[in-house]
Amino acid sequence: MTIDLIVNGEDMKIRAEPAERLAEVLRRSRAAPSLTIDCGGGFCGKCLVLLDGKPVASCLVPAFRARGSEVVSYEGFMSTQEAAQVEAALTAAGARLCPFCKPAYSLALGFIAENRARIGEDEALAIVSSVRCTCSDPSAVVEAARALAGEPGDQRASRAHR
Amino acid sequence: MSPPRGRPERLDDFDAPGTAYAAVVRSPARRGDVRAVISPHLPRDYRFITADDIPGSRVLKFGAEDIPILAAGRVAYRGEPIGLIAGPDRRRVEEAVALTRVEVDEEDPPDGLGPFDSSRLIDSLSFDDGGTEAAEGQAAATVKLELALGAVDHYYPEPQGAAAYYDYDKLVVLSSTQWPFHVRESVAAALGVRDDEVVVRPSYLGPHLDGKLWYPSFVACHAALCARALGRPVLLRLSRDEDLLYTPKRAPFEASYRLHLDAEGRALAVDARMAFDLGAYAPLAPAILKSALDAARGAYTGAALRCKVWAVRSANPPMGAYAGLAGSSALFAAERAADSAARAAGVGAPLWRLDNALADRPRRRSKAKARLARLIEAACADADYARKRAAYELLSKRRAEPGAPPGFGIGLAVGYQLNRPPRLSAAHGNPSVELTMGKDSSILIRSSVAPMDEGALELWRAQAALTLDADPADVTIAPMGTDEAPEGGPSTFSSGIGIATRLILDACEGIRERRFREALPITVKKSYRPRPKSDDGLEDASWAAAVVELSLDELEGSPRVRGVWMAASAGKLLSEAHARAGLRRDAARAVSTCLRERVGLAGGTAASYGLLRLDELPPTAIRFIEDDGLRSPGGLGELAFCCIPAAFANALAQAEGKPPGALPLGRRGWDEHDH
Amino acid sequence: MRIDDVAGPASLQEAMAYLKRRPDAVPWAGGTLIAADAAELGRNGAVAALDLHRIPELRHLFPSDRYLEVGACVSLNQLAALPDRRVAAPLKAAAAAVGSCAIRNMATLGGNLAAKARPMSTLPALSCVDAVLELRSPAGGRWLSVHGLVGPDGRVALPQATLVTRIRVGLQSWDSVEFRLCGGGPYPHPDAAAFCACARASTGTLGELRVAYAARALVRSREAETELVGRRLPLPRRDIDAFGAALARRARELGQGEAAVAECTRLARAYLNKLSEV
Repeated sequence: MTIDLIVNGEDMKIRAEPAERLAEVLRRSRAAPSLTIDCGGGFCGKCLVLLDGKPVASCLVPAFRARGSEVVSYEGFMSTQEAAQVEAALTAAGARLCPFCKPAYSLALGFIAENRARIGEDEALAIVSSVRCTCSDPSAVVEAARALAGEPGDQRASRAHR
Repeated sequence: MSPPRGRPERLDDFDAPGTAYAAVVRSPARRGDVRAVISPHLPRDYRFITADDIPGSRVLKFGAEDIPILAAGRVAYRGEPIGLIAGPDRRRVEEAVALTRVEVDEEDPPDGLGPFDSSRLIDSLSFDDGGTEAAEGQAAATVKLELALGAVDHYYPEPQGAAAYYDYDKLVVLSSTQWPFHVRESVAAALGVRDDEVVVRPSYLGPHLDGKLWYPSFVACHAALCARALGRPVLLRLSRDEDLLYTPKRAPFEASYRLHLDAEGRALAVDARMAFDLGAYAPLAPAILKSALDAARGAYTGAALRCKVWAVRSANPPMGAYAGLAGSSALFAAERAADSAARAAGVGAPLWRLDNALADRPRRRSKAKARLARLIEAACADADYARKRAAYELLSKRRAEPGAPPGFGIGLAVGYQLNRPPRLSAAHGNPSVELTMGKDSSILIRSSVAPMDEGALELWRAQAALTLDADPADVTIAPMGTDEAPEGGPSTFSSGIGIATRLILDACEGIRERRFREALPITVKKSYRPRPKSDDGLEDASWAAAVVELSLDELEGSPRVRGVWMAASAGKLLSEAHARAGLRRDAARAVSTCLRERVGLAGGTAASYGLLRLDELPPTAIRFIEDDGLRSPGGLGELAFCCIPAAFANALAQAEGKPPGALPLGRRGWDEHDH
Repeated sequence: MRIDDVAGPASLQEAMAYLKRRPDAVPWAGGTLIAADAAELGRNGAVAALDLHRIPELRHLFPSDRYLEVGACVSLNQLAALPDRRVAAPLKAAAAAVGSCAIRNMATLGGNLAAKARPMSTLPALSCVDAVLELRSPAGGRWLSVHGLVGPDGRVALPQATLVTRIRVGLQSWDSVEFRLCGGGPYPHPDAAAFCACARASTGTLGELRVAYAARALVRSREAETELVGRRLPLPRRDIDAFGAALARRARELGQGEAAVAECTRLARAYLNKLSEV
């Protein structure tokens, strides 16, 4: 089948088997060469992309499910203003990420930064915990996530009432 | 044939025109004679490669072990490679593998580390200094422990794989390996060519925990055979599931450990029997046994020692080294015994260790002893060990009461890492470096030891620039390919980097001494010189003390780690930030390997391997003690694995009021799916 | 896995029309279970996929004062993010415990409930809160208790060509809620399991009790629960032992292995012991 989707802001038509994983489609079509396909079961999160604005494990998404969807990979993320914030947060936290997980972590952190008005520290930690890699100091990634998280309205309100 | 574009860091980025893909046909049975291999009909540009297609050596030689590159006639473990299918379309290759039937007259081999007969014995080592027998008669008390550590995965950032392509008259192999020269020798032997007809270029390694010592050579042979058969570039990358199930793991370990104590509770003698399940093939058996034997007493070198270690063959995939061969397993046993000894002696665990560690050397003559004392004090102070230990002891007395709070526990352990490279085989050389200052004062570093990541390379550049008053941008580190780096042995986890860093600093000093007396360019070579056998390496070792605090879930009873505190001493710290990040990374893994990281060797997938998530990891505090006595930088990478598991087990013993049993815990009571 | 036909209906009507034509079609909500575990398909060969994610009413939440109706394609993250007052605590705990955030963004309540290979982690929670389900097929629609969907073998038995479209859950509060992922390994390990328990108490008397465990089957004993309602807290040991024994019997009746029997009994007893604090 032909999958019509938007990848990193560009309309794409890609031929794919219906059950082919979105991760494989993105890599072989060179739409997202940074993407890593590792566990194939959504466990490691290294294949993270934003699908219709939400971070998902693209190895769990069949091609047919992506029809008409908008996908943002690391390549697309790099051109956003959040990319610089993420890089600065990772550098400040001393995080050194490997080429297998950096795209996924960056996307997850970018999502946090973009949505910080409604994402607090706890949720930020949950988001960035979607990725599992053994390459680096995990507390540095957590620190970066916390730095990028905001203080959602309800938490601000409850603070004000104390 | 065009070479690939660029020099990819990730194997999956290997991108040469006409690249074909390969996958492995494996034995479905644990052991037996292969009756038939029935593969689907393959299109013209696909190949099914078996042992008969190997032009050169059909085995990977490592010490006394001959490991079949592709099994023929008989298989020794489930997942053993029997054939390779290669072709231009990855999906079709995978489908062809899935459709291939391998029929085996399956045997039911004995397994595990229970009673084993001599037919399963690969090798053994023993040591007896004669003092244990006498001590047995004098001992006022004896600590007796039966201990077990199960297989855990190295879980490196990239599963094993290799790419191979011909570049004119040479075969180039891209491999994520700790030992590029072993890959070169192995591939050359399998292809029946000279070593210089094969070039190996390492790809990104990352924290490998010694899981990529020899197995990459095996996979590289597969990729090379496919490239030769097809006449085109080939990429062979194991899936994470394949890697989890079929590549080497930490060798399962069982120990029977006796620690004899005198009337004051001091360590008199150790009597230890340790066995390692090294799987169907055991290329590292001699080195693993030696590392375990050397660490059998742990830090308690004042005790006499009688020890026997066995390497046992089984129908598991080859098992092997983990974060420094097997020393960490032996240290685990020693530290569990130390805790029990402290309890038997009626003294606190820190005090028992202070009294008994390195007791064979006078305090004033042993900087290591003073160092260790400071480490124990620091870790215990940071963790508030004494107060919590006492409080949790009181809580434990109420365990049987209805409505009692869940168990809490806090445990201490110490460990060390020798700053000398293990000898894996007689053939390989010692780590070496070569530093050249060019006419333009630029600096080129060639090292036989490959660092795991960019951080170590940056440190080398920074140190060389600092020493030689240069700009770090003018310092180049030569790539680690076999046509670029000095020939050498494996880059073992951590110890190699510590040694290479020292050699680089020495080489820099050498250049500094000569640069204004001699014309440029100047080249200085430095090689590691093995220490005399009489030197046990402990004075020069990196040391650590770790405290782990945990609580038990009130419903499940499973432990939740509440905090980890480590104090470490590894000589001169070139970058405290880099060292701290590395130790935190390793501490997180060490905690994870105590909990759910259970390899289901009978099945199971990467998605159910229990690697902890970021939000499940405990807070970890690291403190460094720098020691003027150790001016050179030492390795750090093994330290977390040497002491955190034992500290965890000691904490769990307090929380549960009984010995914890095997680690990783997995889900206790659910053993039927695991071997 | 091979898919030979895909339908992406924009309404339930279209979905029913497709199911009438292809009753063997595999309903695809988030698809995370199917993608991670091929056993979930339960068959070899090519399948037809019914992609449900474009149907608006399956993606919505329908709150009211007394209950929450959840569209079957509402993601588990959406559920987990609801304020406590708008979702039953056991269900929220179960939703939040599944996988990782990235998985929960795709995984749906309907997909988790309707899993074929074995019960998944939201089933014990839905059992505890006596969820009611809307089922739709080409023949029509009906509402059914979640227990009506669980067969005698303790597994969800959704008839062919039938979709779970809504899940209705009461918003009563609970004084004590516990949820644990347990079993022999994390999902999709074949021995993964989940435990859920909740209770209400008033003036030191147990008013309501629900205890459910799902490994290969949903284990729950309402007779044993009813026995304990009205008892004073803390529960005496003999009552806790009797409850544990009843649950163990039920687990064995459902063919659970001894490891699962031991685990569900141990968890239930620990929970009842803990109730003394309610």
